[in-house]
Amino acid sequence: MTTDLAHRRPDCDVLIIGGGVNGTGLARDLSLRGLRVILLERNDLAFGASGNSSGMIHGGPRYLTTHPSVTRSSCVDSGYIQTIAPHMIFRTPFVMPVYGHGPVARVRFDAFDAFFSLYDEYQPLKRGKPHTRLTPSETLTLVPGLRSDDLYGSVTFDEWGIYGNRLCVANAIDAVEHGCRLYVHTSVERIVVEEGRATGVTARDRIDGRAYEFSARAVVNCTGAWSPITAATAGVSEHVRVRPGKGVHLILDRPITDIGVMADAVDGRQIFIEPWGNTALIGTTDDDTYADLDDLPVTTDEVRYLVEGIEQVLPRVRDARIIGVTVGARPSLYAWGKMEDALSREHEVVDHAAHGAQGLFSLIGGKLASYRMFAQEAADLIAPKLGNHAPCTTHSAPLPGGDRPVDIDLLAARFELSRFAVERLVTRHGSRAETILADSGRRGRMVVCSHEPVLACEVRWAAKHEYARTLLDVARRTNLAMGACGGNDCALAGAVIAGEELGWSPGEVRAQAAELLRSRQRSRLPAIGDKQARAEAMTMAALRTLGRAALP
Amino acid sequence: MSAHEVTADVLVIGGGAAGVAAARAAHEAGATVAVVADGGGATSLGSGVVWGAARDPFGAWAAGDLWRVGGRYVTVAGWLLEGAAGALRSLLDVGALPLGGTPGVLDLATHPSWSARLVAQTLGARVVTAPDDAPTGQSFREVAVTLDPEGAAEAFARSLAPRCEGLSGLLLPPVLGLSRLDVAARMGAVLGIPVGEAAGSPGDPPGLRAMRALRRWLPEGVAVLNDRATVRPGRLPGLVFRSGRLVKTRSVVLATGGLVGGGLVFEETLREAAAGAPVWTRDRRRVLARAGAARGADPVEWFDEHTGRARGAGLRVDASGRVLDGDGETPLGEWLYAAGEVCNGRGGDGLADALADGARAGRSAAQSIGRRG
Repeated sequence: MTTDLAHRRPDCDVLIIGGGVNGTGLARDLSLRGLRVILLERNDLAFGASGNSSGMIHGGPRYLTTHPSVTRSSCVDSGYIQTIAPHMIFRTPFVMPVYGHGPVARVRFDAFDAFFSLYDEYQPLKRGKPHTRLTPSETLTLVPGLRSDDLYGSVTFDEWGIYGNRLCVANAIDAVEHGCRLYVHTSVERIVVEEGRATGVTARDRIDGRAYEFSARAVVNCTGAWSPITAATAGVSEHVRVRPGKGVHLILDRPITDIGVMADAVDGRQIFIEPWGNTALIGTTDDDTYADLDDLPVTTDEVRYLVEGIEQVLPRVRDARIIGVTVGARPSLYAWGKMEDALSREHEVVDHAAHGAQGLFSLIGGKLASYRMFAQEAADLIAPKLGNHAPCTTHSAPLPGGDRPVDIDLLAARFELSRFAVERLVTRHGSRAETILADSGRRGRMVVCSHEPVLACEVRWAAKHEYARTLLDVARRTNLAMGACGGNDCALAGAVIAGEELGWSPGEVRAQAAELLRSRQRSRLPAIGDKQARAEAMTMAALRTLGRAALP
Repeated sequence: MSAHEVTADVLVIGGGAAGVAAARAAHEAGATVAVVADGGGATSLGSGVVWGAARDPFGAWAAGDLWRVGGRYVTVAGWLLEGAAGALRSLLDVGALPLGGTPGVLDLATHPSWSARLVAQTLGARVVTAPDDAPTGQSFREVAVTLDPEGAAEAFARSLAPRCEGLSGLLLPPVLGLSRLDVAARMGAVLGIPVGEAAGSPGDPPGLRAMRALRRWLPEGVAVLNDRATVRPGRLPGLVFRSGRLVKTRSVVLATGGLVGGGLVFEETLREAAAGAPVWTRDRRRVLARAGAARGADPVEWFDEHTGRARGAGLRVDASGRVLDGDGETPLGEWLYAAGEVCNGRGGDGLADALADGARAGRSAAQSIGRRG
């Protein structure tokens, strides 16, 4: 195929492929520097690893002994992210219980103590508190219900969490507000390389089938685990090597602990449970995956592995229901002959000029916690090549909603809402929560999804201002249908409201609601236990009603 | 006979659609019948619409005010359903509205799935603004309960009257009564036009009313016990009740429901709750578990994600409704029958099939007593 892309005025300076945290972070960075950016995302913002991670923007003490540079950069960047998006950050202290008797347990305990003393040096970078050593009784006061027999003591350490979905959306929206053009559900079919130079892409809208051609002065592949596939369309996939590692998280119906708890899985890997809003999150598996990245499967075994591991320290995990399962593929850097855990979480910007494609770059690897730094490094490399020497400002310019604190009580009183509903809205939108509420009528302030809770006006906002095109997109932005009812109560209501903004017919409303329920239900399938099967069957009943074909 | 003792030829365990149909059929076949019910199951969580495209699930029973065959219904978000074999009368059959007129759709502030705009668009109807004092509530149930008290529905209808002039009918969200079955009729009488509901989702009032209507449909003389029974196959009479009650019976019909009703329970493995009977997978080839079986029942296998059905697995029964043993051929007991969602692989659909199943099992159970002498 020949195109005239090389001979016309480019549609943009930089075309970014991928709407995860790296793609949206880079789009924001370059847009703030004044470059014209187009961002294309094959599925939805935060569809992959970014929106399905534990959300910890920590240094990863896990990497301290093997990759201390990852720990340092993560801690530094975590500090910056706290500055620019204070509303979507939450503090999560962790307890690491140590079990056993006598000298063996003491050596183990002292080793953890020493380890976290080392980690303490990084803590000020991210406003973390130094670790503490706790006796068994202090530990049990902090985490009631922790297995107490054989408990030698515990070590605490301080971490921070963030909402990965919202982080991507905030970056994308800020980019758009600085001139970026954003296309979701638009898949790149080919990166056009002409005379040794990347000149643009051909793409297709996966919802309406529309074909696009975009010319660009530079093309950046930020597609995470997909990046070898993306690179293949330009013939450079052998230079973009990742080893996708599947990470599964379980969402419980309640925060069964106020403090994160570390545990050993059956194979000795470290896993954890952490409070997460009004739920709890258990993670994480790390297994090589060769499956379809658009539709990663989760198996019953993976779920049992996680629950069994947490049960060793927190037996009451069995009393909770698993109401959701998330899965993503980490873009770990490729290496042969290593266990998944030992793979590098470093990041790397690949300049494909040496591979016959000048102006084409790939961002590979990386972590949520250091996305901003990664984007800055890439922008520092790419922008000067395009004659732009503006400095990076993403470490100090607040993300949308992060500009000022919000008085939640005041907002709750003004709009006659529960404090909880406002608090959740502010967590997702920061100071923009006020605009969202002010734009809404009385019906707009009705609760659509009572578990989260999600208000009607937030659903409308996601459809109108946040580039949601399907109900699943809305759910990713708002947490709609992530609660214990699995969407039974809110899927149809959400579809009706989103449909008003997006012009859906009644048949389309039905289809969108059914798709959301089906998708949620499918994701929970491997996690069905005795607490969940009955609720699941009720969701099925809702699907049966929605599943009926509408009359034309 | 002590207060804790009941005698019945046929004991039906479960008071949902299958159980009620079984009880009625057994009664009509001349047996004395008792029903044990333990809370609401899938029947009460239906949308109130009975699915089943072509046929009347009741046969000769399709009488009275309960169901109307062959309706056309609109949902709260405005899409139309056709081929419902029947529905509770208060769900408005929009196909039966007077031709040539303009129906109204009431824009009530309630559960956000209600879209008067979409419904009106679909029906070519007019959106009717609700008066300021109209009942409101976050859920349809909340609104419905306000219309139950004596006179409440009439008063509400009178407040709507000035807004309904010239309309050929009035459509509301599914709020027309939580426990009373006649709210739609009472409002219609005041307004002089057909009044009815749009179909909603599981858990909405029409489904709850369907359950209530079904129970009323049980013949006089059928005892209903609020209790839970455990059956020991091979030992009859040997029913153990949670309350300590003893029932002397000669036939048992398990109409205990599926996962929603509690007839099937998933704890490590999927098992049948009342009798511990073998549970089969949907494809009818594999016995999943007997009571006490260890782990290994992967829900990915028996939850049917493609049809969205939770009843991919359950008891296997023969043509008369008798529960079969693990070999798939021998009845577990001459006297043990099953119907409804506790059975596996039923190709059918919701209430209509549960009723048909139940009628078959109830009739067989009653007739088998004669054969066994």
